[in-house]
Amino acid sequence: MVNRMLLRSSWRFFSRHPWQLWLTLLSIALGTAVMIAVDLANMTANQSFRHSVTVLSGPMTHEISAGQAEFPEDIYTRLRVQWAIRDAIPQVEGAVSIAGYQYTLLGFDPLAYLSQSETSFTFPTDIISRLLTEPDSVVIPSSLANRVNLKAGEVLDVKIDNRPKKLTILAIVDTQSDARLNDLVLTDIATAQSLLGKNGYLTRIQLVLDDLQSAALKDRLPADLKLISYQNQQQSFSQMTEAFRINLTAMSLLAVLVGAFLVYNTMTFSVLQRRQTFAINRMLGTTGRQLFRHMLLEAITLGLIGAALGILLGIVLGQGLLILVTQTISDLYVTVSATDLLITPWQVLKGMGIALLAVLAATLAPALEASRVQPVFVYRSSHFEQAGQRMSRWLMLAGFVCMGLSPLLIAASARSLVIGFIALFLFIVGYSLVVPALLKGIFHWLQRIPSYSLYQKMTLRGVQASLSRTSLAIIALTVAVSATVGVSIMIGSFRASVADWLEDTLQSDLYISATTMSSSRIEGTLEPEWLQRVQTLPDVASVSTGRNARLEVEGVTVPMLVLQPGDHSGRGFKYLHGDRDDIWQAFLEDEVLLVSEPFAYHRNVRAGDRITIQTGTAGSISLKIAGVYQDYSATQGMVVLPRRIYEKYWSDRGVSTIGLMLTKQADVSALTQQLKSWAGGSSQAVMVRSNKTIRDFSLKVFDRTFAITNVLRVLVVVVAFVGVFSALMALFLEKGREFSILRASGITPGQLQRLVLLQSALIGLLAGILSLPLGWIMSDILIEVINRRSFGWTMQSYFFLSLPLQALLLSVLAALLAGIYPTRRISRISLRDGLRSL
Amino acid sequence: MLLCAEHLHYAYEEAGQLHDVLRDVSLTMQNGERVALLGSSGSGKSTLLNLIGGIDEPSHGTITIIDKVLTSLTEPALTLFRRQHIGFIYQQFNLIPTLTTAENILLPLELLGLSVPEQKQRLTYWLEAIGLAERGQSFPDQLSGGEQQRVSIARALIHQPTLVLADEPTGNLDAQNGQIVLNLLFELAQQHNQSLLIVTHSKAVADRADRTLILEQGVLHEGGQDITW
Repeated sequence: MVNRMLLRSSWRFFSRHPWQLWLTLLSIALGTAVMIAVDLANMTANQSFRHSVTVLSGPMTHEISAGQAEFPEDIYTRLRVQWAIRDAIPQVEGAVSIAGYQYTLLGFDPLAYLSQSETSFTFPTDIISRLLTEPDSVVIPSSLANRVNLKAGEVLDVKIDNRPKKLTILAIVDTQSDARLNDLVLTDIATAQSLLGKNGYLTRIQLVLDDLQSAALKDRLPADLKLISYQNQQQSFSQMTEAFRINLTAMSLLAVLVGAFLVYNTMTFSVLQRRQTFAINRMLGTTGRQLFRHMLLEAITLGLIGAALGILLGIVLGQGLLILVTQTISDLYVTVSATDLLITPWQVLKGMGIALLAVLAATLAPALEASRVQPVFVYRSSHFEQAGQRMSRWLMLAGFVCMGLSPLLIAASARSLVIGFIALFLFIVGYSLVVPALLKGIFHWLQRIPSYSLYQKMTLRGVQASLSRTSLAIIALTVAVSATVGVSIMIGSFRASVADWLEDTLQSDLYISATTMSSSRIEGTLEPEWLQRVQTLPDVASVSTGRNARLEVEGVTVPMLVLQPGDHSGRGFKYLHGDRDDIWQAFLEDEVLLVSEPFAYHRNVRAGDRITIQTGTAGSISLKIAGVYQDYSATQGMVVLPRRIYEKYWSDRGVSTIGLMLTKQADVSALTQQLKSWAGGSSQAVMVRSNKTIRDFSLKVFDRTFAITNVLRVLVVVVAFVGVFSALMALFLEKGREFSILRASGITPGQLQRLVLLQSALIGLLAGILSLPLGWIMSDILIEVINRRSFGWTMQSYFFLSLPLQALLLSVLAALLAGIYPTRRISRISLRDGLRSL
Repeated sequence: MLLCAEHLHYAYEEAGQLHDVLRDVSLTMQNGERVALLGSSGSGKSTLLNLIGGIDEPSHGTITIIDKVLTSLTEPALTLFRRQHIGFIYQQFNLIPTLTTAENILLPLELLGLSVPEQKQRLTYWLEAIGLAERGQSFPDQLSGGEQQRVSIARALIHQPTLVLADEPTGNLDAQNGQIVLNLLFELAQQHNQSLLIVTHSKAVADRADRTLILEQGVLHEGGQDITW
């Protein structure tokens, strides 16, 4: 039964300690917010992809595409005329920026649309005909119209490839009734081709095919074109982005973990503060079980309010994270665009449930402590501190067990990413449990230094005496700062490895590529005359060509680079094992291929193994892997095939990229200028870039993909900051009496403030020092286990000298900032009131 | 004259109503004089002690100690004044729990910036004087109530303040320990010619004082032989 008097007592306790109530709620809210924001952003991105497939597909079953690139539109004519496939709609698509938001400009053929019995969206016929006749006219979703505050007939300012354009709004689609069109700006195919610089090219052709038709069409299509079933596309997107989503979820759960530490901290502190109240209750006949239930009820109430606040905050935060998540997925996998966060009751309930579970788990120990309060504790105050001291030994033991289990779990789980994360969390929790004992040891050692002033002793002992209250805040800050250290080392190492890899890989001086780069891959086809033209250029020492295509390996499609090497190309590969010259010799002469490290990891193959691939003209063949090379371009892995083998088994003769190695005396800028002038006169979009431009662009994309990780890292530190703030407030306000005595003895307010700030700095310094080993080990697990299992990449671990200093600075600054407000409060404590409470 | 308090008024506001605690209180103290302040609970004794110690400000009136008008001093100046001239002893001892016996006693000297040899010399004397020479490294929670109060006496006197303010120093002690503490306080104050204003309910304490004052409902009277206990 609920004890009403206990409830009233709790209510009054929190009314008298409002800051404690708000900080507890804030800890819960922030942890929940980060978790739910990541969950919502992940789900929205996923749904956005599914939705874009559904929007685009409608009743259609398949599409023809060239991956991320465009393909010549003559294939559409062949489809309808030669192969008699009538249910086909050609489309062109590209990104368009409107009022700072990304939308998809979708050009479709209104005539083909009208000829369909079933279509993906419904428009009045007059709009369709006006789209055909009025140039630069578009149909926009009502959500966009509201955002830019425009009506039909008005002019819409957009940016395409950073160039401003003006479009006329022909009609507005009500997205209330058809939310699928939320991110689309629709126009006639010819307008879209012209606006996007894709004249004569298509992004996809949608089809309605049965199984027989699809099998027949698959055989007829050129190698650079793929027939994709919409059903399979959704599945493969989920599989492809799974590792990325798990990584983000794990990072968000770290915020929940830090939040749970803080809840534990504040609940323990509130039990400490109320030990006499509980003891009096026990004296009057309240049972230990009643107190336990009461504490859990209190936690559930706080958890529900905190989680509700967290969900609101998470929705706001999620909107911001969505931009970063979709950007990263677009950079790493496929282009997705989503502007509005999708919120489902399930997501909200799940977030609430996890938050409540974390709060309950964090309250279990303090609730048990409360239930063990004996009536005699009315006269004793030091029971909890003594219990805490005794517990620290058991916690240390449990911590070592957790830390020991972590590598065992990693070794036993082989390739499971989820278990990799569990092992990482186990290590973090284990280390956290050891922290109180470590702190005890550090203080024991510090005490032995003899030459302290009284002031310094007061600083040191003030923190030491309150470890039962502050150690949890120190743990929270330690975990947050170590996450910063660990992730910084991982990202830094990754970036350095990618920079080295780019340096090795980009052996040519200049690259000519078909189409714009909408993702990390270029999959267009250069007009054949480009190869003849570049042969006529002066000072070209060597020419290599690349054909980006897709290859089916044992039923799975992966990116393939068909390489016609130049004299310089051999240096562009760094192999994990084997002699470079031998491997390159085999690549030049034998029926072999090269596979990337992620490919080898995901398929568990190595150099010397044979794999079966699906060719264009000869069915399945088996090829030997000559070498496994380092590659960071495709997370799912890729293969490199010699051009002579490709031409033997495929009919395609296209080239996507030409690489030019120039002589030392070459005038690079003049050559670039010449190539660009040819590109300008070309009917297709062609890019001419130096290896430096590609390197810089790649590193920019790299930094962009980690922007979300950095944001989450900051959020974890913010959660920890709230914890330190809360602990310092509790600690210093509890010491009001002690500070009043000091003030009465003649300590000035300034001296008192310095004392408190020194104590805050000491807490930060301790957390900073303790975070270094954890951060270092965390980076090792992230590099060796998490990254490897997520993407199959290995990388060199780099140590950055500035990092320990940065970690210490961050930690001390966070603690000092957290200490400013409590310090100001303390200096304002009335001496009279402080002494009156004596 | 050491202390001259004139026409002190002290009132506080609660629920929109003013409550008078002290009404037109005036008193003087000479150097080395020991004065007992008596009165029932809530009569304003501790408030008067706080005003004289510079911890609180009167609503009206002035307090002058060794020619310094406390009521006109700024907060930093008041802090420095307290540091040099006032010693406090509380009923609850109020030692700093994180400092040892020796460090608690040394605290006022540290604040005054005395040299380490000087501090050591005085510490040795005071530890001997309060009979805790062997307990210098003990923490407050390792001492008995009587021992803690002896430490707080040493802390109140070590920097040789002109005025020692004691708020029921034996209130938390048993009769035997109370007697020990009281003896110590009066003897040491006399030895060092320090004035003592002691709030008490005890007749034994009042008997040892040079003079007795009685505070009744905020009004101060000079006490005589006719006090009823």
